[in-house]
Amino acid sequence: MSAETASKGRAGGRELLDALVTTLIAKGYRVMGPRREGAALQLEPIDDVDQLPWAVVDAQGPGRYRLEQYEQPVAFAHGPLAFSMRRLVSPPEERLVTLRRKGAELAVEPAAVHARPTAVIGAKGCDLRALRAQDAVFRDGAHPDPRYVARREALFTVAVACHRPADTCFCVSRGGDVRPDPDDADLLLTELVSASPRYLLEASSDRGREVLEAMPGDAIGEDDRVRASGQDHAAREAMVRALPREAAQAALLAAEETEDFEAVAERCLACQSCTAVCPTCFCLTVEEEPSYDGQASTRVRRRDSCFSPDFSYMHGGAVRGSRAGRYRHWMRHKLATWSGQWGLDGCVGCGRCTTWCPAGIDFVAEATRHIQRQEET
Amino acid sequence: MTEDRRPKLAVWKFASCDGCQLSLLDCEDELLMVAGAVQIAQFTEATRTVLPGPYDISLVEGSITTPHDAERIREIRRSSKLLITIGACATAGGVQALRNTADVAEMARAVYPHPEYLDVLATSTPIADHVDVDLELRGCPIDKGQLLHVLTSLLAGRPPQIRDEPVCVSCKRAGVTCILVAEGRACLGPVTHGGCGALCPRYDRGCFGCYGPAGDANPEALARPLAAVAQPEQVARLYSTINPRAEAFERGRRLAVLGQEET
Ligand code: SF4
Ligand code: SF4
Ligand code: SF4
Repeated sequence: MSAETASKGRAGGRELLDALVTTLIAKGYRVMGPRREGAALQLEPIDDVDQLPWAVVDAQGPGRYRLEQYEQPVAFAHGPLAFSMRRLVSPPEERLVTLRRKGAELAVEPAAVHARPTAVIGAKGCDLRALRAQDAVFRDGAHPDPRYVARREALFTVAVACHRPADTCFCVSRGGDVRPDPDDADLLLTELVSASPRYLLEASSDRGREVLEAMPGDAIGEDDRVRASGQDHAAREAMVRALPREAAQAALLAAEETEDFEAVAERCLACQSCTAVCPTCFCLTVEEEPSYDGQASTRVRRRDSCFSPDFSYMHGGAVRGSRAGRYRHWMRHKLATWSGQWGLDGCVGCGRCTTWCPAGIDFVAEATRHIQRQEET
Repeated sequence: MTEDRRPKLAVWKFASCDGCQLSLLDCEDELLMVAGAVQIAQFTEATRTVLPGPYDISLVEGSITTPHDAERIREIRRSSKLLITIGACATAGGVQALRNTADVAEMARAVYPHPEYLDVLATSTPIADHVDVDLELRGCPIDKGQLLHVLTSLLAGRPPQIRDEPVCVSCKRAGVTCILVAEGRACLGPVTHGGCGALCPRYDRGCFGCYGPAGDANPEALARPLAAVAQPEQVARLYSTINPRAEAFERGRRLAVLGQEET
């Protein structure tokens, strides 16, 4: 098939997804997709489209997540998965190097980088935009992290357009969209919802085109495009939550005082769940683990969080000693100060911090309080 | 014979079940490596040898429940350079601290034919209530990985890195779906000091609070989420399972009971 035809994409029924999985596996990728794991949908390895969450949706709200039956036999009706792709490129814990005593010498043994080619099917627009934030920190700066870069290059993404945003989603107000930016992915998938769903697949990178060329399928028709854009429109309309970027930034920049965050801090557990599930958070710490025989020490990098009192600990104490001070730092960094630092938004509107907060603190509602207060003054 | 210059390690027992000391024995292979680097000066579970002080590192298990023990811990403090308490009994009084609000004399009469032979205090208190403690290792029992980390760090002459962070952090690191949020079941993880690697949530059980309150524990904020998924008695029981007299857990238990009275 010519590149010309391939660039026009593929359309088909469930067998198109089958072909996608088979082709990716044949190309040597470990394929991952949404899959039911206990009580939630997680990003898990799959080798068969039957493993996708057919007719399963998530009901998400502040501090609440439940799986439910969906009326249509589709696989991508769910909202953001419990964990984002951040785990794949920046694991919560990794060994960096071991220093070993060899007589008078010190042997340096860097840990191998495991960058297994991985294809994620069903990557959402918010999570793909969040990867831009991770890239800015770990790849595009003056000191790229080779471990991150290797894993990032090994990551192939099949984005999916959201046709049913979760109740906690607010990506559109953050400058994102239910239809992912094709530049953020290798392939873009559209699931046209009906009793027998139809799939459209388009390539937006050379790697993506190679996969598409190896796949059978019909050409995407004009009526397919009309249906897709109608579905996008309805999904945008269905997204009721919003946290407008400029208003939020102005309000949070003005909320300088720790006292402004005391009310929310009373309800906050400082459990760090929000930062752990946020796809743009990137903070890490490095710890030493001496070997049992005292002859070596291994340096381990672990995820850290600004909600930990230890995070800002310097000689003699923590800079942000109160929970209010830490909440203030988290919210202002996400919504106000990040853009000056990285030229991007710190919040992509995935809503995970709200869903997975055991205390049910609603990030959008809290930020909106600051916007309203600013409007009043 | 040349003088043994290796640091002296002593393990002391107070009111406890020995489970924490057994964690040390459970280290087996690793313990042999560590054992080579220290002189075991006192460790009744492992050896009958008793060497005189002073001791470089004293590991203390158990709580203070008798006048004799209250004196003995002072003696141990005087002869120890570093005193590290291990486990829920030593750091928070243990489950035996349930007696702190009961009538001990009454209980003694109910249990023993000759209660007059007993010489006990009315309370079970953590070691830190009696002497200065250099480091506390939490857990019921302690985590052997944490214990080994502390010992190997100290032997290497560097401060141990025991993070004061709640169990939720371990859940997220392990990729465990939150039990409280996704299943609506009670979990003390958000107020509990980590260290177990989220053992219970990984096996689909809510956290029982073995490691006691995290430094920043906010039981007031957990009261409502717990009340939404569990009965007040269940919450109260959870808070008094392992560290009943840890201050933040007592607050959590009281809130659960108060909430019940309000409704
Ligand atoms: S701050 Fe919350 S809504 Fe925004 S990207 Fe992070 S987890 Fe998602
Ligand atoms: S998840 Fe909620 S309770 Fe936990 S630190 Fe974040 S805002 Fe606080
Ligand atoms: S299961 Fe418990 S410990 Fe784990 S994240 Fe949820 S509340 Fe925290």
